[in-house]
Amino acid sequence: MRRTTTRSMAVVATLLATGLLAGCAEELPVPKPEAPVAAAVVSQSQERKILDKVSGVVEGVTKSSDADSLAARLSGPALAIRETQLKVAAARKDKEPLTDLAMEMQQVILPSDQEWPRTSFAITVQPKDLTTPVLMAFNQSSAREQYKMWGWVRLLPGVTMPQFAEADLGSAAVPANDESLKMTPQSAVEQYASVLTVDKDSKYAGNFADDDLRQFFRDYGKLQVDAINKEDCKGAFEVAYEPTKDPVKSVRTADGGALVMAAMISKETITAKEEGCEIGPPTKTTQALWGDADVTNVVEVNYKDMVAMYVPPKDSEDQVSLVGYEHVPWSVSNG
Amino acid sequence: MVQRFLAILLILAGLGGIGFGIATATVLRDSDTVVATATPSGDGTMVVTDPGVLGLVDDQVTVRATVPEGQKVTLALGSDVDVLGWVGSDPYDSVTGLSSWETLSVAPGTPAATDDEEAEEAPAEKPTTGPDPAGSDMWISETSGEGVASLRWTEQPGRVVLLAAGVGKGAEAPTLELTWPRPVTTPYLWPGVLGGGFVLILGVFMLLGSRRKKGKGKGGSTSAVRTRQSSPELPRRDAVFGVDGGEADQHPEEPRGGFPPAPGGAPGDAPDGGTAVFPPAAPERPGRARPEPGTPRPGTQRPGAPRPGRPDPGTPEPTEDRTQAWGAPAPFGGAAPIVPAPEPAPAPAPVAAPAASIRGMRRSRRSQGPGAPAPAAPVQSAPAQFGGAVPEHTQPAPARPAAPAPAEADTAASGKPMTRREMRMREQAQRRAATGAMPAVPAAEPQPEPEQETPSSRAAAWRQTWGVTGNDDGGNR
Repeated sequence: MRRTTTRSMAVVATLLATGLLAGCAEELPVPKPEAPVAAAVVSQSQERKILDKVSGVVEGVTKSSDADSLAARLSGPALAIRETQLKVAAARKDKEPLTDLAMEMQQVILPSDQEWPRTSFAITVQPKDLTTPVLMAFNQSSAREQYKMWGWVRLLPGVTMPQFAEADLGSAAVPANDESLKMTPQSAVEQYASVLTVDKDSKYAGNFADDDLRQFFRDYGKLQVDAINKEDCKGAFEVAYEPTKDPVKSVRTADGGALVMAAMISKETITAKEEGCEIGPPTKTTQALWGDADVTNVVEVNYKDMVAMYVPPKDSEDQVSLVGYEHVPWSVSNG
Repeated sequence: MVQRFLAILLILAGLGGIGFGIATATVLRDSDTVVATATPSGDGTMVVTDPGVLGLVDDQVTVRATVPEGQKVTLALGSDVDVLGWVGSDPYDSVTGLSSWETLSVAPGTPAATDDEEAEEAPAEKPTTGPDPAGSDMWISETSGEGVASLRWTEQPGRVVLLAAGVGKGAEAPTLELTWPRPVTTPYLWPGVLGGGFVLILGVFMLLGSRRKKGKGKGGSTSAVRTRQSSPELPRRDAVFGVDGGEADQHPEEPRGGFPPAPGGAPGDAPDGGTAVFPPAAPERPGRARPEPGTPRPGTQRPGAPRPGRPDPGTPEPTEDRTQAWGAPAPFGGAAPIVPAPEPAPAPAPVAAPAASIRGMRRSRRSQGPGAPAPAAPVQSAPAQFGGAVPEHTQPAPARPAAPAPAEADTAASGKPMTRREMRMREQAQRRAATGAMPAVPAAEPQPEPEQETPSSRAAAWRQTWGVTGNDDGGNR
């Protein structure tokens, strides 16, 4: 009897103890953040929103011609070039000088760097006017700034763009002095300015593949010179390129190279060396900009330029090649 | 005495357990939401949650931020990198988690690594103006409000954090309130109730045990209970047999009239008296019995079923009467000859009985095959009856004699369901045959059904299949 009693007591005690223990409270949850992953710092949906905002501003200004509003979403060379285009368009009284900046993109190249400034790139589909697609760069200079269009180039016809990392992964920015490339982005821009200026005579000519822009200047210069020579005025044409102080924007390509985008300024000078000859502005735009200046034997046209180049990785045998440019006249003078 | 005390203790504990279980699901049930508040430490104008805090309790979170009257507050969601980048070197409060179910733990945030100069300048600037994060391209979602702002967020992959900022001159860091829905579980309900119930029963038994001990000397009631229990069982069996026998002797209709009522009452009343006999009897009879338990079974099912058939083939055979008790064999008609076997079986060993009956059934079926034309007619009538009876399997027998004609209409209607049932039954039977368990029961059930529904051909085919399974069962046994 004792034993059974003791045993039953034990059973009861166990039961009660279990019941009490079971009543313990739920534990507080602890934050379990996902591990940081390598991904673009701008999602594609965010990029789309940014593009919509920027293009909203651009379109609004295109309609209203109120260039002051551009600053909200344009910065750097893009702002300067667009203002110039608007000015030229106003002078010509048509919209032809305005680059079509409709932002329907076929590809976006998103930044993967968490630091600022952050730069994203995007390539538009072919514009309605059947010009070539436009490569745009957007820059967020600091965390409390918005993304603003920083620059654009029209791609060369038939150009093959380098491959970029998956948009969701993001592409790393390349510092202007990056050494992993055939030449640093900064020096690529400087050397290319030289090549554009003196073409084959540049000591850097061998580093650059021939391209449409250089060919354009050859053809255009010959056209002008020939026109002047017809009058036996000893025509001369020269063009001088110079990088601006704007920073160079570069992004890593899939093969380890870089897409480099930079702003430049250029000045083309057409001269009739024969005494007594006078020449006027050569194009419709320059005529519009000419105003009522006196005609002399010199025409100087100042341009604002953007170039985009592909710089291959260091061990590559490829040359640096131009992928697109923008070349916008903004002032003309008689020297 | 001690045992009794323990018993009572157990009963109380059991009741308590049950009560506790129910209480956890009712009055003690947790709230459906978790509302936690973060009160800023007063440094800075911004509050930032750590990654993972928004999804702390549930994927869905409602954020509510309040600032003193007349001030503006902005809520923004963004990746932790973006948010901290935006905050930059300004002082802010970091919400690091829950310190209780009602409060969020807040710690001064670690300013982003920046130039020392900036960091030093920041505190000086802080009191003046709260920067407004509204409108940044980086935010996934944002909202602003005067005095209060709230935002809903469904957690998504990524390190999304919340930035709450008091905006404008003299801004203060907002007070943050996060609300999550919480799936409320009642984990103690069933353990409490079941465990409590178990303990309760244990206590009751203990109590009874202690009483019995006491009672032993007095000739306690418990013993009486036992005898009662045992006694009814025995009489039941007797009664069953008696019933069967009686039916056999009597005309089919008579027994039905007499017996059915009794059994009908029996299932419900079973515990009380002789009526209770049926339930136990039914299991014993396995195969046939099943339908029988319904009620009319003694007269109705087997006997009933056979009877319709019998009139033609059945009458000549005396065996049928014997078989009547088994019901099943009888329906199959003249074949009954083997019946004698079943009879003995049921009485002595319930288990054995089914097997015997099955054998009998086979034979009867086989015999039916040849005799098909004759049985066919009865079968048809049978379906009609069953049709009427459909609601209760057991009843078919009574129905037949009464109204074959009305039943026909019903049969038509019932035809389809019956076939499905047949199929099911057959499958079951085959399955069972394979396992060898409970063979008799399935056999019995299907039998009445085929008859009910089917025209002769179907019924015959069906029986054949059944006969086969029945054979197997019998053989196994």
